[in-house]
Amino acid sequence: MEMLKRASTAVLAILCSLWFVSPVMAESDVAVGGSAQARLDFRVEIPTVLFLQLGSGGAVIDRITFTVNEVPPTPIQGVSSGGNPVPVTARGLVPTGNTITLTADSSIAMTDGTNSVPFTEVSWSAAGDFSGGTFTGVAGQQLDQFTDSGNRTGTYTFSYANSTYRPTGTYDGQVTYTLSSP
Amino acid sequence: VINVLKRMELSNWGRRVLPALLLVSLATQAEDSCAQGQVVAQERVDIAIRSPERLILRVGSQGGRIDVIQFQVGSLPGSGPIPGVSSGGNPVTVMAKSKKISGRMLLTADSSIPLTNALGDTIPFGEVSWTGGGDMPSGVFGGQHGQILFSSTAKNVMGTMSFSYANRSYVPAGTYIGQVLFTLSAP
Repeated sequence: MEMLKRASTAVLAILCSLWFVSPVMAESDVAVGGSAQARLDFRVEIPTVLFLQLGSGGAVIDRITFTVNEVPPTPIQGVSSGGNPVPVTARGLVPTGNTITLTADSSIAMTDGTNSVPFTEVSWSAAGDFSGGTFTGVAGQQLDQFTDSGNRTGTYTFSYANSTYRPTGTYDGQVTYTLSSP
Repeated sequence: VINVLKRMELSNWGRRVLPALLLVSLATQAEDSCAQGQVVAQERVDIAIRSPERLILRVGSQGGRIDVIQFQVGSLPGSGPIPGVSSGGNPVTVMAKSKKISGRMLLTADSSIPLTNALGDTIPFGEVSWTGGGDMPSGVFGGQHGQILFSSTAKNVMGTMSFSYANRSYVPAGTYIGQVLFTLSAP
C-alpha cells in the first residue's frame, strides 16, 4: 500500500511538471512566455540564360539595303527595313567570371545568282555597349565579349565600301549572329 | 498552504499528495478540507492557479521540418516575377496563437542575411515578396532584423503566404540559398 502511494505521488509530480514545461518544436513552435520562432528556407535557381536581338524583335529578319548610286570608291550607307540605326541587345545571366561572346558568320558571300560580293565589303559603326568593325567573311568572327551577367544595348549602322567595280545586279546575303557563353 | 496543512492532522500520504492535487486543480477556490482523523482546525484557503502564457507559431509544415521555398528562374530579369513553390503545402500556412496573453501579438521576420551562392554572390531578400491570404497581410522582406509582418490583438491569426522572386536584376547564374526567421512575441 505504501509503495502504491509513493508511485501515485511520483506520477502526480511528473504530471505537474509536464503541465508547466513547454514543448518546443520548430518549425511550428510553442513557447511559454517569451517568443515562439519558426523558419523558412529559400532557394533561387538561376540557370545560364542568353538573349540576343538585332533589329526588329520576334521572327522578323530585317534587311539592310545598300543602293549603289555612286561609282567606286564612294562608300554607301545602308538602310534597314526595321529601325535605323539597327538596335542591338545582348542579355545574359551567367555565373560570376563567365564570358558572353557575340560572333558573326559572314562566310557565305552575297550573290546575284552569277556573281558575288564578299562580306568584307560591309562594315559597321556601333554605339552603346558594342564595337564597330568589318566583316571578315568567315564563320565565328568575334565581335564583342562581355564578362558576367548583364543587359548590353547599342546600335549598328552599316555601310558598303563600294571599293571595286562590279557587275550591276542585286546581291543578297545573310549574316548569322550568335551569342554564347561557355 | 503548507501552514494550513501542518495544522491539519494528515497522514504522510496526504501531506505529500494534497499540495500536488491543489496545484493541478483549475479550481480557483477551495474550501474543503481533506483530512483523516480528527479535525482540530479549519481555515479557508484561496488558491489561484494561472495558466502560463503560451505562444504558438507555425510557418509551413507542422513539426520540426523546415520547408523550402524554391524559385526556378527561367527567364531574364524584367520578364515578371517568379512564383515560389514550397516543399510543404502551397500556399504556405501561417498560424499564430496566444493563450492567456493580454495585449498585442507581434509577428516579425529576420531576413538580414541575403541569399548566397557557392561563389559568395548574394541576392537580398528584398527581392522576395509574398501575397497574404486570410489574416496574413501581403508584403516584401526588408532584408533586416525585426521587420513587423503584423501586429494583432486577436488570439488566433490564421493565414497563408504565397512567395514571389522579383527577378528584376542581372545577377550571376547559380543556386542561392537563404533562411528567414519568424518570431512571434507578445511585448
